[in-house]
Order: sequence, then C-alpha cells, then structure tokens
Amino acid sequence: MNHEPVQANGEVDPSGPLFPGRRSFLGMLLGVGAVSVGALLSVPLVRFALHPVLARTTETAWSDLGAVDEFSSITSPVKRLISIEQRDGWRKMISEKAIYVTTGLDGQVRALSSICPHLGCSIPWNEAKRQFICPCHVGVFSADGALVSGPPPRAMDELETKVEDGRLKVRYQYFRQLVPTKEVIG
Amino acid sequence: MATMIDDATATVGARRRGRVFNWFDRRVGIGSLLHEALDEPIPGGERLAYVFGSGLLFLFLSQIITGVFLALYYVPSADHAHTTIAYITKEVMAGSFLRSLHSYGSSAMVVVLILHVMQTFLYGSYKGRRELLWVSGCVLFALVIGMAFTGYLLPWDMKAYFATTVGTNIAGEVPLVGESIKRLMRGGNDMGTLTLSRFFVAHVFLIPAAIFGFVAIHVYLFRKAGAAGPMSEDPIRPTQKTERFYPRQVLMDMGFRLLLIAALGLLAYFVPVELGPKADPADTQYLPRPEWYYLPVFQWLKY
Repeated sequence: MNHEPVQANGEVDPSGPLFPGRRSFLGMLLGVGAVSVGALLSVPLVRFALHPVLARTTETAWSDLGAVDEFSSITSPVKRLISIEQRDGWRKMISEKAIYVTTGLDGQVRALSSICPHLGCSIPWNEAKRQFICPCHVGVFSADGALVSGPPPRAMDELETKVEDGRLKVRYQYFRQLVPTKEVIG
Repeated sequence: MATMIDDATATVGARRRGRVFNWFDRRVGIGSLLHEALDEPIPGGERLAYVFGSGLLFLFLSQIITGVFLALYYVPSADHAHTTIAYITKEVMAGSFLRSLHSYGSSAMVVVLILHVMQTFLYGSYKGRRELLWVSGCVLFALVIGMAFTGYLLPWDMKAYFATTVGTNIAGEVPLVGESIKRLMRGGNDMGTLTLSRFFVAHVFLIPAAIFGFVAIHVYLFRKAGAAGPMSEDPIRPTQKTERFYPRQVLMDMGFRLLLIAALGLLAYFVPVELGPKADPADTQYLPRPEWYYLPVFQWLKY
C-alpha cells in the first residue's frame, strides 16, 4: 500500500493522506534528533566558554600606599603604583595599578582610581592646568576627582582606604564604566 | 546537423587543449568548472568598477597566508604575545615585512570593502532579487571589521591594549546584555591573558570560518542573480550586449590585484609597522589613538 502523497510521475497527489509520509516523518525525526543531540552537546561547550564570566572573583586585599603623614600636606594629587596579586586565567601575577592620593575639600586624604569612568583609559594629572585630563576623549576632572566637563558620566572612582599603624592602605577595585553611579565589578 | 557541428567543435577544442587536460577533464570535469567560472556573461561588458570584490577576495587570501606564517612564532598569552611579536619584527628573517604586510593588508581590506559597497550602491547592483546577496555582504562587512578589531589586540602593546579596553567598554553599552557581552569578550572583568586568547581564537578560527562560509554564499548568490551590469542597465531585466568574464574582466581583476600587492609590498618594505611598548595599564602618560578608520568614532565619543 502506498502511503506517499507523491505519485509515480513525481507530482504531489492532492488526494493523498494529510499526515506526513514515511520519508518526511523520518526526516523530521532525524532533524529533531540532530537538534536535540546538538543542544545537549553544546551545554558543556557553553559552560567551558563561559567559565571566566561565571566563576567567582577572588577577594581583593589591602595594598600599602605609604605613611599617612606623607600625604597630610600634599597640594596636588600624588601618583602611587601599587602591586596587587591577581589571578589572570591560569597565571597568578603581580600587576601594577596606578592610584592617585589627593585631598578633598574637607581635607580628608582620598585615593582615586586612575581608570577613566568613561571608557577605561588611564588618566594623567595635568599640573599646568591643575586638572585630571583623560587623553582619550577629553574627560576633565578636578584635583579631588570631581567631574568638570567631557563625556564621563561620573567623577573619578574613589577607592576604599584605611589607616593602619600609621600607614595608608587602599583596597583596589574595578568599577563599571559608562554608568552614572559607581558599581563594583571586581 | 547542429549536433554534428557541436561534436566537431568539441573534438577540435579537446585536441587543442591537450591530452593531460583531457585526462583530468574526463575524471574531474575541469572543462565545465572553467566554463562555469570564466564564461559568466556580464551585461555591458567589463568595467574597472567591478574589480573591488575580486580584490577583496585576493586580500583575504593574502591575510590568510601571512597570518598562518605569523602564527609560526606568535604565542597568544599576555606573558609572551608582545615578546613574540618583537621577536618576529626584530629577529625573524622577513618578519617585519610579513607583519607589516598583514597589518597594512587589514587596512587595505577596509578601504577596498568600502569601495566595493559604494560601487554596489551607486550602480544599483543590489536591485532585483538580490536582497540576500546584499544581506550576506553586510554580514561580511561586519566580519571584516571584526577581524580588524580582534587582530588589533594581538601584539599586546599599549595602543592595542587601550583600543580594546575602549572597544569592549563600548560593547558593554548594549542594552540588557552589554555587560555580559563585555565579560564574555574579555574573559572576565579585566583585560588580561584570557582576553588575548579569546581574541586570538576569534581572529584565527571563528571569524575566518564565518568569512569562508559567507563568501561562498555571497559568490553563489551573485552567480545565481547574475551580474547587474553598468548604471545604465536594468539590473532586473538586462538588455545590453553581454561580454564573458574571461578574458577582459579577469585581466582587469588581475591588474588590480597586482596593484594592491605592489602597493602593500612597497609600503611594508619602506614603512614597516612599529611595535609600541608592552601593554601597561598603570602607565598614565600614554596617549592612546585608534586606527584611522576608527577616528570618526573616536571623535564622536568625545561628546
């Protein structure tokens, strides 16, 4: 008995059965099977590729910036390089990060990240203009890190500090760029 | 009668082509392949304006060849990338030349790509049943820009580091999924060795594979729709006298390819591409500037 809606001359028989024939049913089965197996196999692949995105970041430690007295009478922001131990994939590395120590209007010593909150360039201090001026897209910040002009959505990011045994310590963190509020991302 | 004449012509043709060709032709079908490839009718005949697509394919092949050779020495890790590029540039014989050819070749691809799109647009070659041809071209455009973007980071110098920092931060601006895309591209929050290996995989495996696929689709769809002809031609129902692709258009294409490789070769030889200092995010004195084709975006980001 012929279940195929296709006639011997190759034309589709309009009076043929409405349900799919053996060939199209098997074709559908193969398609569904291939998609299912593919989807199942892609789970470990996706997990593998997403590992660094989903893995928990390690807690950052406190880094020494120097004796607190050193910064009590500064008139301009002072750049300090701190070394932090960082996991970068499979390697543990000591990476250097630039920090600016400055004083706010209240006279308090503050530590600022040198990473621009706009698109992540490193910001230098311009002594002649007494401003921080980002070399990439000309974001301008005052000596205490407040936004003066340009495209950055917020002031320079202040880092958590503490004084321990007369030493100023900072906790280095990364913040999300291009958002008006400070969001820690790692 | 007509069959007899055809047979006679075929015999004369076969005799002229020689025994070796005929041996292969009977087994592989080179004759019909060459006929398909070379005898494509072009309405209105050959034009210099049609050389850009073929030029792009040539540049892509040149990038593959130089890229494969660069990969002999390059190591995609933050520890070694800059050192291996310095080794290629300073120590390996012809290393600076090959690297410069690869680097200038990427810029040339962007230039010729823009010329190809402009020609297609001005000549109305996208009209008729060519929607998918245009769309596949748009995908190829994005893939070529993706190649330029991912390749840029690989030397791991200051310029590369900051260009990619800015680029991935821009990707982070995509609504809802931006932050995840950024982290996926970087392989974490920060730029590091995982970013480099991801960009390397995209640059060497993923995007080239996609380009191969889309070039095949693009060429197939082009041949299926047929050449659109000059500006004065109706791209849907061509009426002008046709000229075969070989020899005149092929010669023009070859001439353009020669011009391209000669220009790139001279540039690579006399003005070799420099390698900047190793990426150091703590350096606040570095003045990052993007590649020339990103300058409009660079300016736009200041507002």
